[in-house]
Amino acid sequence: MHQDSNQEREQGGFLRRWFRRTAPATMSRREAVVVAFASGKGGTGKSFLATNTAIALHDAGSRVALVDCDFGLANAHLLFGVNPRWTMQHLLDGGVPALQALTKTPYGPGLVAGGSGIASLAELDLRHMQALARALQQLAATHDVLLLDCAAGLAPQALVTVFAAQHVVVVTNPEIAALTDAYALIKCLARQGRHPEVGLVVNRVGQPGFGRVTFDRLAEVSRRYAACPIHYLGEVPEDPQVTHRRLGQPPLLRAAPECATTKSVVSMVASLQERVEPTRSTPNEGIEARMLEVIRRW
Amino acid sequence: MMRGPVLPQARETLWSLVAPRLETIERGLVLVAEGLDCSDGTLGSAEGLARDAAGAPVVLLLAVEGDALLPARALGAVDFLQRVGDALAAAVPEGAFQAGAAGRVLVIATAATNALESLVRRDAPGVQVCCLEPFRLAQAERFAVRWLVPTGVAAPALVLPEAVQSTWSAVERLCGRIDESVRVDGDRYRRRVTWNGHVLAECWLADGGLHGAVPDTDARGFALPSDMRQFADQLLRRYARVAGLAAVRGETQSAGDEAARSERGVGLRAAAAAARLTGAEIEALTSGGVGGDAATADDVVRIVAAQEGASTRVRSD
Repeated sequence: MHQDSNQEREQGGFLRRWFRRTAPATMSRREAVVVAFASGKGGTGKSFLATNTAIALHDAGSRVALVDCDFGLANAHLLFGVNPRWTMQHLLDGGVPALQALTKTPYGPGLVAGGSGIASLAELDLRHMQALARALQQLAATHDVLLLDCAAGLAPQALVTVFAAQHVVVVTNPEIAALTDAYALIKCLARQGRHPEVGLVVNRVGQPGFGRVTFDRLAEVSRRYAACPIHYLGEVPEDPQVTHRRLGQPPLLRAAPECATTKSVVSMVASLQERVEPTRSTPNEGIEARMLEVIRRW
Repeated sequence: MMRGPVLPQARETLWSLVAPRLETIERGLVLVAEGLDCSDGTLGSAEGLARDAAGAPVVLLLAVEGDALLPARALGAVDFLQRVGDALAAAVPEGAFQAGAAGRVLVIATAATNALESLVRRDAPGVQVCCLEPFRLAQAERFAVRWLVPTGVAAPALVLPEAVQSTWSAVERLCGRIDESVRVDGDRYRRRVTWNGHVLAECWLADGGLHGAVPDTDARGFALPSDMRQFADQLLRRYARVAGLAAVRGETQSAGDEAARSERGVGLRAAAAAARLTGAEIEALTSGGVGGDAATADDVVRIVAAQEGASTRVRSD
């Protein structure tokens, strides 16, 4: 009996020691899939696609949070029709924890609204970015999908949020300025050793099929000059229902679930889901770690 | 002692420099005759009578230092043009003036004087004032033209026949949409579109119509909607090209390029800086491909149109 209890104690000690030694390297945790909506040029339709994608994923049964990372020109809360009490600014200043900054929208997904008190991205310093990384980690731990509505352009502060994601949806229009800016973003991503998987959505397409034509051209240039493969997520037609939307109207997925634009958005989301899988990460691989790694090489 | 670029102040010497270069001051300005006395000698002679691109008479006055009568001379010339009206065309047949085209007075100055400032402040109808800014290039003296208005310096309004006003408005809107740094300036009959000092395009009035050209391309009249689309497309290509000036046109970069590989993993700022497009990349993105040209220009026109009245709408991005 005494021998048995000694054996148990010793066994327990061994297990505890083994657990302590191996736990940091092997203990994985469930983490949200992080998808960033980005573009080189502003006004391509990132926020429209991000908000409707959030709703579509929520409808599919996922716990979804959308983070409006367009700090200077945030408008996702307008598209969701909410008036958030807490915003990104409170979160970055450390005034509220991430989950408290999350606003529940009437359409299902949670939203961390961008702050209106931050005049520009340039005002975000490293301390803010580290606070953002911690906050995103907290959100990722409690959701299935985290969507980041990133700011347009190639400012380092914007790129940090893009690199936080495992998948980046580059939103472009079939016009030359948007196309060249989208390529500049892809090229910038490709310059990093480890970059998110890149998908392309061509928004505001005038003629059906022209999105694919635009993608083919961009994909060829990206492959040839930037060595960066991209995949096609779909096209969204030009639609006055989108461009003429007014304050107070529900998002398109709710307002016009049967229209062609909604169907194309749903199709795009389906393409995205095919490429996105639930992830598990160790403490050294999560969204916070990815962001801190990028910030370290600021 | 080095001599700076100074325009001659003596009236005759200055006139000999300016007279052959009227086209530089305003596109289409042609000298008809020198020495116009329209005040019975009380205010002295105007330097010349010219015809502008629209066929209107233009009285040319030089403003030199010590010319205290300049405002009176200018206003007297305006009175003269208003009095004689279309009769000038018959009286000066060699001028080939267009009937019904209102005349004006163009004052050409080389330095700010009290009389000139007084004239500019009056902002008298029918009087325009420009100042020549001298500089020296390749051992030769040249001048740039500044148009003076009471509030400072501004391009004079473009004189547009009604038929081409909407076309020009479309060009202006397009230029406004490209980039905040795109500037449009010029004289009454010409506009130059520039981006950070690079000429993107030039538009001018000729034969009652609007014409445009992008550097390295043929000039075109905007007779058909397709002309406008092609011009817009060329303008945007030009912008894309000059915006990527760091690149050498035609340079290539293969995916397997060792140099490109070595740049991987750089910091964000370096990566963003290196993302500037090369000439080859721009060429590959903007040319070739199916339905490229027309569709690109169509989209630009569409986007410009979509911006109109968008201020009350919620931006979806």
